[in-house]
Amino acid sequence: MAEPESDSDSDSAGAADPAATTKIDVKIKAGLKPAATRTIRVDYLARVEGEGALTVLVRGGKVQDVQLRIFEPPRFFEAFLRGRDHTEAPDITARICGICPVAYQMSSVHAMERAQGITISPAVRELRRLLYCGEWIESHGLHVYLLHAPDFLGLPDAVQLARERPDVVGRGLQLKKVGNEILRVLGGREIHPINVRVGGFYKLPERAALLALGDRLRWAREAAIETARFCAGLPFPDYERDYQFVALHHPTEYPLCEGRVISSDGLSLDAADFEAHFVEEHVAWSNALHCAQRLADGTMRPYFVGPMARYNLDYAQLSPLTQEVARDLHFARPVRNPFQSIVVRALELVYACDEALRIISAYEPAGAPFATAPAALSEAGPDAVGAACTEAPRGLLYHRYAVRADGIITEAKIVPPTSQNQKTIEEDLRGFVTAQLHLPRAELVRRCEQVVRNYDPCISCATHFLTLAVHDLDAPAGPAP
Amino acid sequence: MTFHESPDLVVGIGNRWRRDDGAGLVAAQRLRARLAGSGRPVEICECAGDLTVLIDRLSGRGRVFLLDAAAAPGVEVGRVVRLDAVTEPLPAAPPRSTHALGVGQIVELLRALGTLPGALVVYAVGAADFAPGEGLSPAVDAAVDAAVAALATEVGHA
Repeated sequence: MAEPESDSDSDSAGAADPAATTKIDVKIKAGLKPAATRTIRVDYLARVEGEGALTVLVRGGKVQDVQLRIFEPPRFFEAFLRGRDHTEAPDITARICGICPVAYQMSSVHAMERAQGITISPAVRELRRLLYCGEWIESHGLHVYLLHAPDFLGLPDAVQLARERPDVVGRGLQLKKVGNEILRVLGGREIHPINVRVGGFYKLPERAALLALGDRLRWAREAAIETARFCAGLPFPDYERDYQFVALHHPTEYPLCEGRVISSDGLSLDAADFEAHFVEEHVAWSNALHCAQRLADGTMRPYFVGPMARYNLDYAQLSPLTQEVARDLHFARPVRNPFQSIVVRALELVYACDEALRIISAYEPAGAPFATAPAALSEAGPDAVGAACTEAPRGLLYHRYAVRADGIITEAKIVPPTSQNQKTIEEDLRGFVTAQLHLPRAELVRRCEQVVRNYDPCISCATHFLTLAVHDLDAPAGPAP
Repeated sequence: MTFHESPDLVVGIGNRWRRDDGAGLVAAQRLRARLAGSGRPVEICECAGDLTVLIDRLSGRGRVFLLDAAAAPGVEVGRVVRLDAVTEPLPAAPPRSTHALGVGQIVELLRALGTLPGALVVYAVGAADFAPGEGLSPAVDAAVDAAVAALATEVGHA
């Protein structure tokens, strides 16, 4: 199997000649797999691929540059969508991610419906929120317990956490299972739901089927409150920045599928105007696009999407129970420490369970399961264009499509939350790592990973593991890679 | 622990949009076709996304087979490797992803939680092409057939 690249050096990255340049590569890359007979050494077993890398350039004890490279499946899918029928978009885009397929489905159907002037029914609107709640529960449950919590407990991974605290891991797995169950009942299966279509659903669920979720959701809501208490008690590095937060905003609801795009500096715009303010840029060190906000004077500014943005911009729309839990924890706003995103995710778990219970208790199947376009598109006219944003677990997800009169997609643009957060992650690393350069190499790499994990980035939805490598370049006191 | 009275479970794992990574999924499909109409029940499913759903699906089962693509120095493309994940730990779990868990971590989580199946066998197919796109490379395609034949024998359908 792949030889492990050195990640256990104990030298101090910042201890060398202050004029020296140290390059730290944290490679998140393809690898794989099992193999192993008695004659073949296998160092790890995992699923495949995914490419990405983090390079931190240090000179004179200061971070000179940070470059994050992330493979982006949406780029491939944009091309794949062109020439396909518009009705295929929700099922095709769902394949971008196994953790957050609902987000891709929701942004795609809303964009298609705006392109064709389709108005969905109130029942469909509520069910879409319920489906999204299921995804938030399973995604946040996974990230909080199995990916992020070990960072704060000084443990290498969820396996070790399971050995030491099986009760904690068990709670996370059960929470996640409740979210998956919502997807199964409403979406037809746990992963890559098949019941979503442009205009609504192929089939509306029976009221009894949703009510049957009630007991498990009530347990999940209590478990989520316990999760928030658990997360609030974790030790957080002392690190804050004054971020530009961007999220959807709805006057009466915590944002999931609808609302205007707002920012902490007062921006408020319709999704149709997203690309006038937020621009994807090519950067020399990556074939992925990085997103930034274009200001009035033409300068580009990083911004921050995700749970912390939603919490800071939409706190008033959280349910009374969620606000009560936050108050009981003395969890102050605005939250500017990205490590505390784990607490915000836990609070969003409380909200998602609470909101799901509200929807289920009020649900009555009514009307057709889906709406259709009021009129056929004109063959002579221009392609119909529609854009929409929804709130994926890890942040704002923008889709725009152009559709020909015969229903064929002629253009597709997808801006995932990870692309939008990349510059902010880099700036976090730039600020955070400088104060950590005295740490042993392995610990420094671990801290870098933790910073990246604060954002729960979808490095590649096909990427199920990462391999770390540490290389020193021009570091006289450091060992060779 | 007590294991479920259940038919053998075969899980094909992979991502059909990353070429050879779809090997496990294709193998599951071919095994399903090969066993169609035969007597003994074998449950066959595919997992193309979040692997944590396997924790519930595998916990306490009697006998489980996982089919997956594999890539590593020393493992030729097209080679089929059989691993017994119960009698010896899988190769050391990799570091955490930012986003999801891998097969090794899922298996080791089951072990840590004391819920491993009674028998857990991993069939890994040596692969190399994980670029975006559909379709297996010829060597991997042939290896999938070999893995399916071996597995069919193992579950009693030679």
